[in-house]
Amino acid sequence: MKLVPGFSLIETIVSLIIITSVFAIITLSLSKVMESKNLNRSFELHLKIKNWAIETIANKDYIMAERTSGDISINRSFDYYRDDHSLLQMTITARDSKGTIETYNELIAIEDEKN
Amino acid sequence: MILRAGSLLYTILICLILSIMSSGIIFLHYYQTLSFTDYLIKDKLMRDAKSAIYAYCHRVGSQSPTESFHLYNGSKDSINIQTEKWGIYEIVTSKVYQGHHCKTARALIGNELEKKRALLLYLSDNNIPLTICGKTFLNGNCALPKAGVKSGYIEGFVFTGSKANLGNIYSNQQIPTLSNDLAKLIDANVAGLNSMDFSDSAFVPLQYSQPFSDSTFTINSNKALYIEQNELDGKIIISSKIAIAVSMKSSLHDIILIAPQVKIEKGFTGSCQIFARDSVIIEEDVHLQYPSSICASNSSDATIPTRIYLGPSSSLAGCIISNATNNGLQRVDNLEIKQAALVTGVIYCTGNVNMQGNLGGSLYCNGLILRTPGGVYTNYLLNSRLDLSLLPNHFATWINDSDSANKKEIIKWL
Repeated sequence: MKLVPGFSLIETIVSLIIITSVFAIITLSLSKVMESKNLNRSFELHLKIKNWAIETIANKDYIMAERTSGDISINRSFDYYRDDHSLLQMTITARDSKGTIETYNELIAIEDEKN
Repeated sequence: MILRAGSLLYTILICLILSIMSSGIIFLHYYQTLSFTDYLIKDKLMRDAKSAIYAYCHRVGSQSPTESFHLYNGSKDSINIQTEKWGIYEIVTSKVYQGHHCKTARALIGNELEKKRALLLYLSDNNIPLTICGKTFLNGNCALPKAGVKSGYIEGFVFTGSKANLGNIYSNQQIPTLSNDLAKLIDANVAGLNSMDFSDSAFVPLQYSQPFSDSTFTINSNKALYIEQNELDGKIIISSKIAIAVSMKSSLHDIILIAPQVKIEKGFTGSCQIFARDSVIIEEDVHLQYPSSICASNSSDATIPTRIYLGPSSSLAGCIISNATNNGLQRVDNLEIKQAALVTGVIYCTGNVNMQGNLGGSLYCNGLILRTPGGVYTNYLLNSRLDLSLLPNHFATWINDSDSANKKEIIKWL
């Protein structure tokens, strides 16, 4: 019995399995390519957050703020860890329009001018 | 059209090539994800490890080495804090775990000397006033004898300096005692000279660096040691049963020296902590950088008083502690600071201080001695500058665990 002229039944089945598998692999790899785009986005968000954190500490700019860059919005907030306001928790959260979220936490010892 | 059965081979070959390419893409993505996740976790753990040390210094979170805690609400990592004494300071190590990842941060810390609460001078009350002569400059809160401060005239020098913000606190008959922990620590280091195992063949390597993550590298010598051209840094303790001398050509950083007598030769620059029983001689133009310290203590039955000498134009940033046993009224210089020498930090001396140099920080002593060709004077200052405003912000002194009000300060990351 021949489904395809020139091919035996077994050859046809093997060919179909191989072609299907290859299509599956190609589809999977394409989906991974799309995922890596998301990963790159996460990385971009992380870098933006980190740069802002470094800038915040360098400028001692410990005030709540928000920034937007394209479809990315970044929030910066602070919580005092101690009553004397000498230790601060900085939280920076970045999100984009597709719902990718990155969060960054750091404790900062405040070098105020109390002395 | 009739296809030849052999074309299946070509089909398989093309599929194989496509599979390899696709698999390559999948693997590439897998490793990219893995390395990115790895980077994110390591970055976060490193940040958390440093944050944990800040939390420890500000006495937030667990202070117990056996207890692990979470830094932020809902965080997946757990943090463990360990402390270890390094001379009069403390090494704090925080380890942060998340899954199989672990990151460590380490810092040298001390207790913060808050300028607002610090005293410029605590001179115990022996019913003798403080007399200031020449260009003496005092700036900062003082605890002084009830007899007060008066201007004097000595060796042709009338008082032309200034005094500001001295306050009106009266001192007691003795300066405040050192915390038990610190006194014990200094005594243990000095007393160790009698009990340690010293070797005849111990030698100081020419160049050695011991990371603070490792155990302490110790050199105990039965003989006097001369550190001539050695480059040593890190977790190293050098002790000698006789004496240690350090040449200007050597380079020492963060190490501890213990001996009955220690001498730092002219021109040396570096940082170290010195523990001595009999004497510490810092010659001219020596610069002991932050965080350095000199601690001297003798036993109560000692016949020779402890002596620390800081030569002209030398400087020390850190602490000088002289736990001498002689009575403050005896006219012995337990600590002598020569002209143009500068101490930034805290001086604590249970005996007498011959203060001719400058101080940016605090001085606690039971007596001030001034020696001139004309005589010896008690509680006199001549041409000295004592100025609390010269003390840098966030300056750290010795660790004092009993002082829970004061926070700890990071001296340096290790």
